Amino acid sequence: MRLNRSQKYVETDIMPQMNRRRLPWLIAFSALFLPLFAQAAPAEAPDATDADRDNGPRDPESFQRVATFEMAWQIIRDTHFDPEYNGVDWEAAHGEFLPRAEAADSNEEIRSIINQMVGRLGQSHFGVIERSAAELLDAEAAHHEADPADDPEAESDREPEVEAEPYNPELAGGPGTVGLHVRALGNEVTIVRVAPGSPAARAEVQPGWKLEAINNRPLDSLLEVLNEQLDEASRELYIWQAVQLRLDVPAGEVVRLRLRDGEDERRRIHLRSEPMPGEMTRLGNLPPMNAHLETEEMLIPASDAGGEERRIGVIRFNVWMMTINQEFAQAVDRFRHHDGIIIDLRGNIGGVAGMIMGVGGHFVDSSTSLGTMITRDSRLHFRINPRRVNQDGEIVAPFSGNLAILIDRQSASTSEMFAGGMQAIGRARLFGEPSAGAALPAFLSNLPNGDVLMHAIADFRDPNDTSLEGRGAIPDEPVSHRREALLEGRDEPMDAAVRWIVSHPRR
Amino acid sequence: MMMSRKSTRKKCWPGMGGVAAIIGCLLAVPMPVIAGAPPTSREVEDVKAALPTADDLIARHIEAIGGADAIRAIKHVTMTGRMEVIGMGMAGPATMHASAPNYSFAEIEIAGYGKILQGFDGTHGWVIDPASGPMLLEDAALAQSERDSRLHLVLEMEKWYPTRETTEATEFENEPVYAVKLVNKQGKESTHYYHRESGLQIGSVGTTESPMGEMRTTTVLRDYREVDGMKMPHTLTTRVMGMEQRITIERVSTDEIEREQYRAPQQIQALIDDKKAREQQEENDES
Repeated sequence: MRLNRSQKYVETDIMPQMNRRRLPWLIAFSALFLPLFAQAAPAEAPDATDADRDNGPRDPESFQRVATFEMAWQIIRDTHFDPEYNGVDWEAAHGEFLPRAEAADSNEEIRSIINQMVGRLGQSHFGVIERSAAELLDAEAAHHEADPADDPEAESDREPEVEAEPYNPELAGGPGTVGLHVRALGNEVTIVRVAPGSPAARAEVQPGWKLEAINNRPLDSLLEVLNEQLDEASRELYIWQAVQLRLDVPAGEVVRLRLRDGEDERRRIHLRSEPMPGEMTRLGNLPPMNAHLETEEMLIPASDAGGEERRIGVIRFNVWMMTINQEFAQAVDRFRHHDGIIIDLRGNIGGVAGMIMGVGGHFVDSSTSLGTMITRDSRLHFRINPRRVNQDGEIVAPFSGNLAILIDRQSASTSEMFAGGMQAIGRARLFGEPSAGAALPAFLSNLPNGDVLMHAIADFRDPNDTSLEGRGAIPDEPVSHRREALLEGRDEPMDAAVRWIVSHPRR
Repeated sequence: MMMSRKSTRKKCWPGMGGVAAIIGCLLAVPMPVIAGAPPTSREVEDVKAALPTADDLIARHIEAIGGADAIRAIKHVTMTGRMEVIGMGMAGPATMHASAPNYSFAEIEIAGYGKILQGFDGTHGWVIDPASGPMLLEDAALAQSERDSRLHLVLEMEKWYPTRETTEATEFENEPVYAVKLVNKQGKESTHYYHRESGLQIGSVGTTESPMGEMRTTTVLRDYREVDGMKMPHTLTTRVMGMEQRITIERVSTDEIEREQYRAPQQIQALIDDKKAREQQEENDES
């Protein structure tokens, strides 16, 4: 099948500016109605006098370990969405594990004790992330100069095959991108998309190339640590985040890459970051985020589409923030009479959950629920608002053609709530990989010893009353990237969605 | 060993469902809220018999805010102030208009979220929320919008709340109050709290109707100040699911408001026209 893709609007890639806390923040607030936010802030240190009064004086490290245990237990007691704690006697768990916490001799031991305790809940998104692993996710680390001794190949990196483009002060400052999208494929980090016109595209970097090191820092050590620290469901998401934030340095800075091309030859390329497309937006205490939407139109010639030309619109955006609403509506207006629309949510880590009611309304003509958020005392239904009027005040019919949604392990939170909900009501067909399974509002709270507690505070269930937590939205057609296909310039999940639309006449 | 921990995490809840109620509350008319189950024991019934009646408490509240004549004399109200989502760094200007008998329009703008508009034009209730888009209110949410938009609702309690009953003398926000259970025409219950000394309504507890369902809500009214002979609360705090938002009124005007002010925006008007056309089509199809 020959695809004629006429690029419209902005045709640069999207790379969310992230820092260590951004992903958890997005996960936290995105699962809630309208903007419900988690203000991630260091949890307060427990009252030492209380601890001493109850248990007698301890050495500072011992006290800190017990305080860490207490805080983890108490946070879950106060915020768990299920007052029955999934059938676990939480008070009894405290009594059972506290003596072990008091006897613990190391942070590693206290971490193990807490993880055993929260493991009783039998739910994902509960666990302690070791301080060292958390630090690896810190955005600041991406900007630090690595010691060349870290990388045996560092010496030769000083003479790259492709030098960074000259510094342009007019393009410096603010969030930047070199135009690379990466994913963890197996135990390697692979480039899956190169933004047209980006620094990476000008340097002729190709999808399918492996990324081995960034700024003289080999990725294998990072992968090793994250593989040890995180469960399988979270690993790909965090590897992607950790790598991507090292690539998305401020505009004007240089990223030094060591790559492995399609011929398995080593390539050393330096890229100077350019301003990230899109609009910086800030909502409340959340950090500023760059929200970007792009569209693409595919024309499938009659010879490849059963004798009739097909038109497909693609809408891709990086985060569910309010600033993309208008562009999304414009895109639907533009594609309203096309044979199909593909919403590409791969790499979209979430955002304002209330938006799914408005975005879903562009594709559904009745007020149907896309899911329910359940807290201790409320059940809120994410009910679609059919969009029967456009921004010009003209009556329109919601798009009734084929709707495909692309998801992957990096599609988290609001993205998977939307995808799972639209699938459950029978309005969309999903392609790609299971989503992150991070649809719960989950917070990351700092603990006194520097570790980080991940804990969910609400449940989200799709219209079939199925929880997406830990499971994610499941594609109707599972399709993963393969390096061989990427090297041939093929996006297999996208191609599968196109084939489905072409083979199904518009309703 | 138990240790105290003060959480700094907050959540926020701007958006529909609150705006109409904001107008109502700040004009000292009751919010549509739902209360818990009524007490049933004989002892409790005996205590209740000694309490002031609900109508007495409502009448006392009316007197406390200036009396029925003062309320009726006010035909229009414009309030300008600021909405803040506590602890979330979210805030923005808020403007609310209301005219007798049942016109309302509110606009709240929050940086990074957008402008939330909500209104009732005497017939149609509507909301434009940046997240969900333009929407005509229906069913319970429409009924709530209609009721909350009545400028003189406090003088019409018998009509809108057929059942009114004082349930107890208690405390609300650490203040001594009488609790009054109200049941509206849709059968929904609410509890309003009247200060035992001042007679003023200082809050309510229950659930607010929204297109997403019922949301359990606590509303606190504070800082009553006199405006053209009538006392109006100048601070409204609403708590929903642990989130807290506050509207602080900075200026109140009772100048006349042109009816045009309540005209629905173009997108809403198109939806109204479309709805009428659909209903007409259905009638034609049936006939």
